[in-house]
This record gives sequence, C-alpha cells and structure tokens, in this order.
Amino acid sequence: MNTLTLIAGAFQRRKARTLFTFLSVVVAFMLFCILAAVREGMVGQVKISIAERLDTYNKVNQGNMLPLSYYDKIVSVPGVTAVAYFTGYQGHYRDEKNKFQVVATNASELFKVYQEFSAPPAQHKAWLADRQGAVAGPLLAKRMGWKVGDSIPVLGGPAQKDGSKTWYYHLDGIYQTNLPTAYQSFFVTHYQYYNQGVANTQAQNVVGQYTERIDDPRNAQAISSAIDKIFENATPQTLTRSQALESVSFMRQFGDITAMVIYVGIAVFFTMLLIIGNTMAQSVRERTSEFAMLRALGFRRPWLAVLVLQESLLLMGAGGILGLILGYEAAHLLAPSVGNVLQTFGMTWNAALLGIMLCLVFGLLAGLVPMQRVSRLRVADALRRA
Amino acid sequence: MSAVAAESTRNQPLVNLHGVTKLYKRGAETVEVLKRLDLTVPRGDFLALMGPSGSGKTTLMNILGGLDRPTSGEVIIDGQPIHSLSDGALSAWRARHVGFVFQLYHLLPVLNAEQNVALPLMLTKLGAAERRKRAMAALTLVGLEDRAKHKPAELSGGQEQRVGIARAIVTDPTLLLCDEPTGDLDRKAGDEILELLQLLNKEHGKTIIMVTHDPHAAAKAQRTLFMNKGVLSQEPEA
Repeated sequence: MNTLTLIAGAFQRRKARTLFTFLSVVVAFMLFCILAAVREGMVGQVKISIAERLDTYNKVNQGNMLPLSYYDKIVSVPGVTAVAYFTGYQGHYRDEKNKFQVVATNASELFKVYQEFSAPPAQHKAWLADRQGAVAGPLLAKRMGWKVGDSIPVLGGPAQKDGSKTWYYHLDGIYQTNLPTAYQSFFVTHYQYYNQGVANTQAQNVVGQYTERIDDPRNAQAISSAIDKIFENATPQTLTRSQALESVSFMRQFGDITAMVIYVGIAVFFTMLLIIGNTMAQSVRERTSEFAMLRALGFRRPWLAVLVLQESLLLMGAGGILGLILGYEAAHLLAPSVGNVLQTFGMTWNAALLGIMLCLVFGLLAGLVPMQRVSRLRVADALRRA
Repeated sequence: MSAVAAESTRNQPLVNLHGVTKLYKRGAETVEVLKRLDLTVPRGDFLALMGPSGSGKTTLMNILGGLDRPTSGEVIIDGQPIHSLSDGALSAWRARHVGFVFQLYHLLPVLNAEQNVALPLMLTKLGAAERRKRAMAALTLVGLEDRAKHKPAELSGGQEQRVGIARAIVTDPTLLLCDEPTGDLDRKAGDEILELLQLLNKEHGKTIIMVTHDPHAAAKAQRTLFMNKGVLSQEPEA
C-alpha cells in the first residue's frame, strides 16, 4: 500500500462524482484544443507568410480570373525572381466523400516560389516531364492510399472537351512540407494539361492568381506598385500585396473573434476550476474524520496537505492530458473541413505545452482551499464531531 | 543500556501529569475543563477512566495522546515531556509511542482490513513485504487473519473494532489509549474486545488507558479513576 492507494481510494468513494468531474476536465481541455486550433488558424497564417512573396489578384473581385497573358509582363518586372500561377477545381477520388483540391500550376516555377515545398529530385524531374503528372501532399496520399506510380482518376472536375468530367493523372511524386495540415493535402498538377483539356472557353487561358517571389522584401511595396501599374489601363486591373500584409489583413477580419475565443476559453476554465474546487472541497469535508484519524496515527499536516494536492493534481492532470489527446485528434479530424478558410488550423506544440501548464496550475488552484482545510484541522475537535 | 538502568526505566511510571489545566473559550466565557490534574500511570497498568459526559475524560485522553495541549502543566510520557514538543515532533512521537482505539473505529472504508492495519506503517521505513507481514501478525493477534482482505463494510462492529485494535498495536506502541472502545458494540462483542485488551495488557505488557461510561467495561481494568468536573478521584461522586 502507498499514497496512490489512498488517492485511488478517495476517488472510489463517490465514483459517479469522480467520473463526472473527470469528464468535465476532459471536455474543457478538448475545447481548449479546438479553441487553440482556431486561434492558430487565425494567427498562424501570418507566421508562414513571408514578405518575399506577393500575390496578384483581380482588383475588382479576388474570385475573378486574370488572363494568362499577364505572366510575361509580371515576370519581367525588376526584382521578381519567379512567378507561379494557379487555378484549379475541387474533385474527388472514387467517392464523393474523398474530396480534395486539385491545383493547376506552372510546375517548373512552383518550388522556386514556394521553397517550403520539396520533392525527391527524381520524382520532381518525372513530374516536370509528365504533362499528365501530379504530385500529392503526404496527408492526401496517405488518406487515399496512393503510392508513386498510381494512375489517379479524379472525378467531379469541370467538363473536358470530350464531355468527360473525369480527369486522369499519374502520381509522379509526393511532396514534402513542414507547413500545417491544410498544406499537406493538395493535389498539384500541370496548368497546361488543365488549360488544354477544359471545355469552357472562359476557363481557358485564365488563372485565379499569380504569386511572385521577389529578391528583397524591402522592395515589396515598390514591386507591388510596379506590377499593378502595368495593368492600370488594362481590363481587368490587378491588386498586388505581400503575403505577410495579406495575412495581417485576413487576421484583422477575425480580430474580434480571436478575442471572443480567448474570453470563451477563460469562462470555460473558470467554470471548470469552480467545479473541481468544489468537488475537492466536498470530498475533503466528507473525510474530515478520516484525516483526523490519520493525524492521530502520526501523519503530519504537510503530508496530508500534499496528499490532497496530489488528488487534485491527479484528477486535473489525468483529465487534462486525456482532454488534450482527444482534442488534438478532434482538431486533426476537423482540419480538412475548415482548411479552406483557416489553412493553419491545428494544435501546435506551444498550445499543448500551455495546456499541460494549465493542468498543473488549475490542479494546484483547485487543491489550495481543501489543502488549507486539512492543514488547519483540529484533530481532537474533528474526532469528537465524527 | 545496563541491566540496572533497564530495570530502573521499567520501574519508572509511564505517564506523569503534573498540574495539568485545560481552559476552553466558549464565546466570552472561559471554561476550565481540567483543573490542575496530577496523574501517575505505572508501566503495564490497565486504567479505566469513568465519569459523566463533559467531565473532561476525552480532553484528558487527547492530552495524553498528544492530540491536544494543556493550557498549563506538564505531560511526561515515558520520560518525554510532550507538552513542549512542536506539532511535527508530536506527530512523530504519536506514531512511535501511542496507539489509539476509537469508539467509532475510524477505519478507511475503501481499504481492506490488512491495508487499514498497515496504515501507521506507512510512516516507517519498512518495505512493503515487511509491512504486510506485520499487519498480518497484528490481525492474527486479534483473531482476524482470515478477514484480511475484507473491507470494513463487510465486517461486523466487533470485527471492525478488532481491526482498529490491530491498527493501534501494529507499531508496537508503549501506550494504548482507548476512547469508549465498546461504546458502539453489543454486550457479547464488547466483552470480546475487553478480553482482547486484557490479553494485550497481561500477555504483551501494554499500558492501557480506557475511557468508558460502562461500569462493566471498567471492571475489566486493573483499576478505575473517576473524573468529575475536571478533577480526578478514586471514588465516583456520590
């Protein structure tokens, strides 16, 4: 028998109460994970955006297309070192549940603009040489069970000139990136294959956006202006901004929501603290005569205080850790469905560490009042009242 | 220690109280629960303390067991003046020298008999196996070795009190303090407990001080003192 036996015994006294309290901790920490993931989704974009990258959109509406012919003019702007352009569609593999984003780009420039992405040289080379080739994100490949060399029929795309909506690709490689989950599930293909195949003439020779890599972030403003100036008298006009600026602007849209997420989190944890504190106080009150007996046997005040604190820490720690694990899994499962809006949605190590620290802090706080009660126990009075 | 010194220690009284007074505050009023008590209990004695409720018996027991402190006076047990010990030192002293037997047993309901008995041994440096061995020896002494794995709720009142006694003797203390040990038991179970206490006194040399309301229980002790309004006497108040 040891201290753990006594703590386990204390939890067993009121099993239902222990279970519900434990579950309230688990749920609170799961919620913490989701809120942390949402917050990361809002602020994380800023972290991965870099000032060396600019995005050019249609000035009237970011959703409208830009002519492919703009490429040559943009690439010739001084300071621009590489330009990638993007369009695409949402398709699915075998079943409509298996949806993913098909990105069509000028493959030769992609890894120059997005240096956070890479692929084994042989796979990269094979992809560049294969008009029907594609590279998939590691998470997407894992989810679909693909391996390099597979033929991938993508359903649900735009109609092709022969009327078919099934686009056939060869999986030439699996790219790697240390960017968040949402960036690990793209299916990247050649623009040329898409452009030549799509039936809708209005979808031909146009792109959704250009992304430029520049030589010096200090020139971002000047280069942005230079690009937009070229198309000042054209239709459509362009709007170019650095990704860092764009992300800050994106985050500002959610500014109040971020604050709300934090306030909700504080309210949840405060409520949980009250629940655990009350449970611990009640549990200790019920065992007053037992603590008095232990004091009579020779157990010292600090020993009993630490025992109560251990109970509180164990309840909060076990519930908190389980909540964090389940919350991490929940955030992982939710990531694909919110990835379009919050691309960096997900739990970070920092959030996990903060969660563990919160477990400890709340465990200590919840145990403080009952610990004091045990420390101040008057043995003779407690035994007489029993 | 030489044989002469050991003999001298054996002949010393185990309990010595000199001028012990205990005052309690009840609102604005101060109540004198114990009035300049003097008491000597020889080693190996079995003393019954009787008296009406509120006479100060339990307060005296608490002071003897180091659970409460006198307002003034000296409490010397086995040569140790315990009234001057710090709270921590008093706890350590209790763990080594006193075994408590309570009227309501005060067993932990979630532990079985063996674990309840082994509780005081958690304060020792003994290993788990040795603790189990000693707990089983104590349970055997009180005749409950076959109930070692039973929880208190699965035991009768008499058996629970036996577990309580086993817990009190497991550390081999010098002094056993029993507060109404048969107060919650029927006559038959009560008699068994008293016989067990007599056995511990006669066969194992334990010094026992027992508070009781029951003259039948007091009759099992070697001698009886009467407490009335904070004063000890040889005879009950008329």
